[in-house]
Amino acid sequence: MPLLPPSRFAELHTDIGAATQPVTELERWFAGEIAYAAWELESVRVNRSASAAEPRLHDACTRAARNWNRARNELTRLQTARINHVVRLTPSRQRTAAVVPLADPARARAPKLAGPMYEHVCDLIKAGKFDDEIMKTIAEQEGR
Amino acid sequence: MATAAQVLANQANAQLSTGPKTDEGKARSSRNNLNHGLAAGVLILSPEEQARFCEFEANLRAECKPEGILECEAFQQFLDAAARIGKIRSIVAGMTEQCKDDPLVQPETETKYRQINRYRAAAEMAVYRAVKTLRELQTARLFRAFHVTPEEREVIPPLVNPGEKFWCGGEMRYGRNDRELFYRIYGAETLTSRFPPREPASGVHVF
Repeated sequence: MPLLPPSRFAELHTDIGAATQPVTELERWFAGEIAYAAWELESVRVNRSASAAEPRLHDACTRAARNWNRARNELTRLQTARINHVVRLTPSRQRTAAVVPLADPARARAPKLAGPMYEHVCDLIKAGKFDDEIMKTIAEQEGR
Repeated sequence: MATAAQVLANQANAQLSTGPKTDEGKARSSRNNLNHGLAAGVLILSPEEQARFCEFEANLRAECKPEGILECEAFQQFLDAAARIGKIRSIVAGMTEQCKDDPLVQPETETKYRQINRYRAAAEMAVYRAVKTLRELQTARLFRAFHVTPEEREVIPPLVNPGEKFWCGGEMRYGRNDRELFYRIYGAETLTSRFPPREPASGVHVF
């Protein structure tokens, strides 16, 4: 059965590195995961004619595809968080956020009240009617 | 047939060697039947693997800056799982070298390959879970640094990230538990002082 040459893995690694441009160690690790999954997928493709090993090939293909997607998603999240540190934060906040490099500033926004629910609750508070009974009524109306 | 004297002598001799007694000796003998080492509680790495892993750990620690017992634990879980994945890859590479063929389709390697893949699936799951946890913990820490006053820190539990938990895309999320928790944290009175009401949108009524 054909065996992919090791140089092919190096090629995949380089191509994926160029396509994803990882900067940090963690990003590079996940880029490596994508490269390894791509290598496995390619191994499955070149061995497709081995009908005796079909169940194993199917398992390997599923697993590699899942890993490829998971690693790509994770890399996207890491890079998004890294960029959000620069584009969403002021320089002083960037300094504060430097101690939490994995945190995504887009997910740590200040709570903004909006929508009809908020208006309704404000009306109730102003009228002095906000209590547990109201909470129950709200829950009933929402069908919970 | 052994004589009674021989049996007695054998029993007496057997008492002289009842296995390792010290922790160090027990640890050494636990590796007597070492196969791939993936089931071991502590992963056994070769000196080269160890050196590479130490460098990886140092770089990653400087980069991720885990702080506090929870973040450090999540970080450690990531490292352990990443080391396991690295070890599994070197085992698979060794199998490839031995067979001079793709171990993926070799009948001789099927059992070992399957066994290794089980460990691999567990390690991969652990990696993604640990990174997710670490990110969530750091995001909650960032939120607290930005938006939570020292007085509020007294009442808001450290793991809660209200920015993410209660608000989604600038709109209130209609989750009963989330909302109740929000009111419990901020209190009905502080709600208006903290977030002054806006003019209600015309014609929008949900209740």
